[in-house]
Amino acid sequence: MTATLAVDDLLAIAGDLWTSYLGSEPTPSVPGVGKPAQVTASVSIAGEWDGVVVVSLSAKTAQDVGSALLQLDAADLEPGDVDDAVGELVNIVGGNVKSVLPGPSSLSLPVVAHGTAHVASRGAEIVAQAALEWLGEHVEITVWSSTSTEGASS
Amino acid sequence: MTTLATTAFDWVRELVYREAAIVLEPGKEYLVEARLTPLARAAGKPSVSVYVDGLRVSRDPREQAKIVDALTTNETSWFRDGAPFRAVAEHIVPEILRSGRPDRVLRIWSAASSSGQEAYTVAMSIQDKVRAAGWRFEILGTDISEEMLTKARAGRYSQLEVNRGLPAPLLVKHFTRKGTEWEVSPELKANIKFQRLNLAAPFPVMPQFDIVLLRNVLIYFDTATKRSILRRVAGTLRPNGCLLLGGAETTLGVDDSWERVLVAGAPVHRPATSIGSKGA
Amino acid sequence: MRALVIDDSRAMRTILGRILVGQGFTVSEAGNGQEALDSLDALHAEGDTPVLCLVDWNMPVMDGLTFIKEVGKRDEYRNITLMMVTTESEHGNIVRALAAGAHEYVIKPFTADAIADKLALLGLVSAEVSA
Ligand SMILES: C[S@@+](CC[C@H](N)C(=O)[O-])C[C@H]1O[C@@H](n2cnc3c(N)ncnc32)[C@H](O)[C@@H]1O
Repeated sequence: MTATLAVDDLLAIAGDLWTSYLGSEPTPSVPGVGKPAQVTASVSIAGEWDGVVVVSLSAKTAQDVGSALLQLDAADLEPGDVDDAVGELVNIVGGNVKSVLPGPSSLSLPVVAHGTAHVASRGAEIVAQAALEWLGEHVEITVWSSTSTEGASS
Repeated sequence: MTTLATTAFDWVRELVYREAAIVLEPGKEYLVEARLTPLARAAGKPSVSVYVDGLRVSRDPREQAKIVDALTTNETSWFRDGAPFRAVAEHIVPEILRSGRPDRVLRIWSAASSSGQEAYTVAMSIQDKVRAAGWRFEILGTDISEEMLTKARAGRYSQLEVNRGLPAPLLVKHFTRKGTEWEVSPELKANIKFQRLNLAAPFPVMPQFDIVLLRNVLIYFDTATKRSILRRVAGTLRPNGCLLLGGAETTLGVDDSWERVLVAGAPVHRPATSIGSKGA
Repeated sequence: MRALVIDDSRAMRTILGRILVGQGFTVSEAGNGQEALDSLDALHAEGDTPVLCLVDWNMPVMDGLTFIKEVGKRDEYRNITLMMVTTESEHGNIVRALAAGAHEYVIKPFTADAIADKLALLGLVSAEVSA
């Protein structure tokens, strides 16, 4: 089935997520303009639709997400807290993305990687990508499809 | 950073009072600034004061309507405060259905319907009962804000909005997913009409209602406006019809021609004459 | 009133825990369905059975749907209110969770008001009158 996921869908999901947990709304930005991401969180979707949802952010933003979710100063975060918070972030984005795509499919547990990770695998193509600006930092949400057998018709 | 000029603020205050009877107390400059900033920006003006100054000269009615729209507070949710909707579904409506009235049509007015949650809540909670009794129902939702009316008619709500007080069994029964949003079923929409109505102006010709919900809107008006609205609402009610107000609203000391009774914990108002006529 | 928050994310448990404490609950936490079942048994043995469980869906070891079905098999937990709080948001999944025994369902992301509204709906806290 052809995926129908628009950049606006990603922005709507991110907008709800940010207003709910992160205190201030992000503004839309342009993909690819930021520095290379330092933290990459992903969940995969498998079933009627197969692919990966990736949130990439700077180390500072990852820490801001941890502080905001746990309502702790950065200095008081325990090891693992930042990964946990960023993992929950991508889990929420992933679940919402999955519900817009053809189903039924299931969602994996989140994986958080540090350094400039390469998430995409062979045969994967970008279905939708949104960029946000939050607290002066760049955040990207990318949805990769691994079912590239069908054309991009609609 | 309140840079809003006093002249601009006063002009906006007068405008929203004249057009919608909404009272903006001095000190609400921050509110006007925040709500009008997007309009000023869209009009390419550097500040709200400059934007308002331009309108004081041009008097563009479309922009003025947008200002009024922007200064309405549209906060709402499903089953807001719970009890009033239980009173309607479990007591008021069943009593009317038992009355054996020949017309078999229930008419309900959501008189400040905002984005529609109140009207759809009533529809969801009475639909099965009304049908089972062989009746039908018509709900009229009205508001002054065109933006809210458009949204109410579309019946599409974000995930965050459906999370606010809508019981999950009703979500799956009456809504389908449309992208990131949820849309009310055509079946439910079929019994509801949304149209623009300014509560502060004379009402158009309307049917007589069994139930009027006038919730969380009187709080924005002064006493004279409240009284005038309550009097005119009384005129739209059937004999023995019910008025439901918001949790912080009352007819007491505003318009004494109402009797207040508690129905399942919710205050319900009836025109005093209709109770009087029954000899109470 | 005891509540059990079941989610594999500490951040999410913290967010939910804070909301529940604000609503007058005493909160315990579990990181997956199995831990939650163990925790229920321990609390039950102490005579402190929760009145409410907030249950995530996707978790390691035992997921939330399985947990809800397990709780449904146990007579002593009949009175616990089960509320799914998850990012799973397809129509069909909500239907599945309700059929499995969930009483309510909140989709992530949620606001504190959304949880409070649902608790009022379930009669677990009294409805706050909003102006
Ligand atoms: C806070 S909302 C209440 C919505 C709903 N009744 C409830 O209780 O949740 C108030 C609504 O009243 C509308 N309103 C304000 N002034 C009005 C007027 N003069 N005539 C009609 N509607 C008005 C606003 O546009 C807004 O949608």
